[in-house]
Amino acid sequence: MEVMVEIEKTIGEFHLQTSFTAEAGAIFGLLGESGCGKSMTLKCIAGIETPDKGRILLNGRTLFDSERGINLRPQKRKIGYLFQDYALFPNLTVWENIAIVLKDKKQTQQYIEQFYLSGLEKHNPSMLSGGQKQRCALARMMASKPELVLLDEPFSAVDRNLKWNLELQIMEILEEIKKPVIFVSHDRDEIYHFCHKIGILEQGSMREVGEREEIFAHPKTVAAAKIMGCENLFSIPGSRDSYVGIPSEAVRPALPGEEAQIRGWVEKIFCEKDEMIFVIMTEQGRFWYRTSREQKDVKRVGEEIGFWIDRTKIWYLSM
Amino acid sequence: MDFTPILLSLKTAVAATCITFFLGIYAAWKTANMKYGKGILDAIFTLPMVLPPTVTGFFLLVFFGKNSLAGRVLMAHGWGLIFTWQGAVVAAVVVSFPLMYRTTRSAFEQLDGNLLAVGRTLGLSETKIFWRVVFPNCFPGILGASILSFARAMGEFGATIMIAGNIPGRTQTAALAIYTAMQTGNREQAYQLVGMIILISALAMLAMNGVNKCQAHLVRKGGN
Repeated sequence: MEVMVEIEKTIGEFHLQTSFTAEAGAIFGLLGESGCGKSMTLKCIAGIETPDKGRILLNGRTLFDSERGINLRPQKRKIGYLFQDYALFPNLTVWENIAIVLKDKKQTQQYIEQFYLSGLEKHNPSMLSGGQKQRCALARMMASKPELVLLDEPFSAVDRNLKWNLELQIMEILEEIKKPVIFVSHDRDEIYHFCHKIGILEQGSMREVGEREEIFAHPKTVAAAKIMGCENLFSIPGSRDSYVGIPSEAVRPALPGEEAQIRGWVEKIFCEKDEMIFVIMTEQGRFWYRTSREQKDVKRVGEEIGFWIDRTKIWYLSM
Repeated sequence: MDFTPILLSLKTAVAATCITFFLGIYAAWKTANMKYGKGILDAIFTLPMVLPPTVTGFFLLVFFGKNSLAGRVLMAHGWGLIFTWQGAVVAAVVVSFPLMYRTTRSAFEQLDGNLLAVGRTLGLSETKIFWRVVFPNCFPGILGASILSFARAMGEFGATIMIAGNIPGRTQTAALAIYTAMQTGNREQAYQLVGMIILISALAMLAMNGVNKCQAHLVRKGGN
């Protein structure tokens, strides 16, 4: 069971071009900043938006093919779409929201129980907590028996302190369904928790697709390095689109007597709860250095500082 | 006091509102989901609201008159519209339609588009989505539109006098009767009718405010 996506769509100045495949059992994560075209990609797959060009295949079934003039209605695609705001029907109760896609009461009851919604059947969506809304939306989606599940920023509307419980809950459900899943988020931690395969989307283009461990440990593009939280990106002199990324684990202050590869002056220091972030002015530009707050013998603003860099841990990146 | 004009006005307005209700909702739903040609259709549908009612009446006369095809077909079946109360209904429908159409369409456009999208991905038919999701969630807006249309139909004068005439007891609605009463110096009759019309219109507007409150409540409750 797999979904194959290869689409292009232009809206005004924005050009979306993505291609990837996602298989059952390996959740596919689409990671990118807001406005990069993640939601648009999902909408094209679900049939809510129509791509200009390309193909979408689900388990060998053609959902969209611009050359052959195929464009199935969303109703025929069998795709479950969990919206960011859950999009529960506000005029219907929890029971009715699920029953609307099913024919018999027994099945509705089954979904109510499976998604821990017992006792909430007669509630309106406005009376539910964020987690309950999400369970209701998931129950409704699963009741439609989708062959592919799309999750659009499922935790963005949830309070931070509730997120963990919801993550556990969704993880449990996703493990059970054995269907291809596409998970969209701008949060790399969420993507790391859930996904096995990752696609990095930037300004409408798929920059990099790969296994989770591979992308997190050795990104190959600037877009991927940026979203992994790497601030230190330098273009290689003499080449137009080659860059190096220096992840924080490759850097430590040079010991006395050791030769420092990077040298500069402390411009500013940001203090966070457990971390201190040094902004260093160097000849190559600004350099960011993160260290724990417990570290002793720290430099002050205006002082000179040198760093030793482990060359084996440097990332070589393309644009 | 002679209640005939008031009763005639009520009869015409109720009949016209029933027709406008369905026509307006249908037109609003179709245009709200259109990609192309929305602007032109919108302009045509709104025209009766901005044209002088006499101009609307003129077109209706031309369209349904004895010399037109539609007029002849209707006449052959014994359904003449000219100088009948049914003619007054047609005039009221055309004049009140833009209010029904525009108010309903804005209610449709305010509805969260994701609700339609999610309905479609769940495999619900367009008909089911309309009746179970769109209509109930837009109901206060639709009800408000109906009340406005009713009030407009009650007060219709120009197009009515053009197509249905001013025949006492047959096509003379309250608005026409007030005009006639003033013309013939029957002030007492005019005052009575004016009082009645104000009462009915005020009740309609009170109902409208009630609907607005209900709408605000629905919006606050929201889906999310």
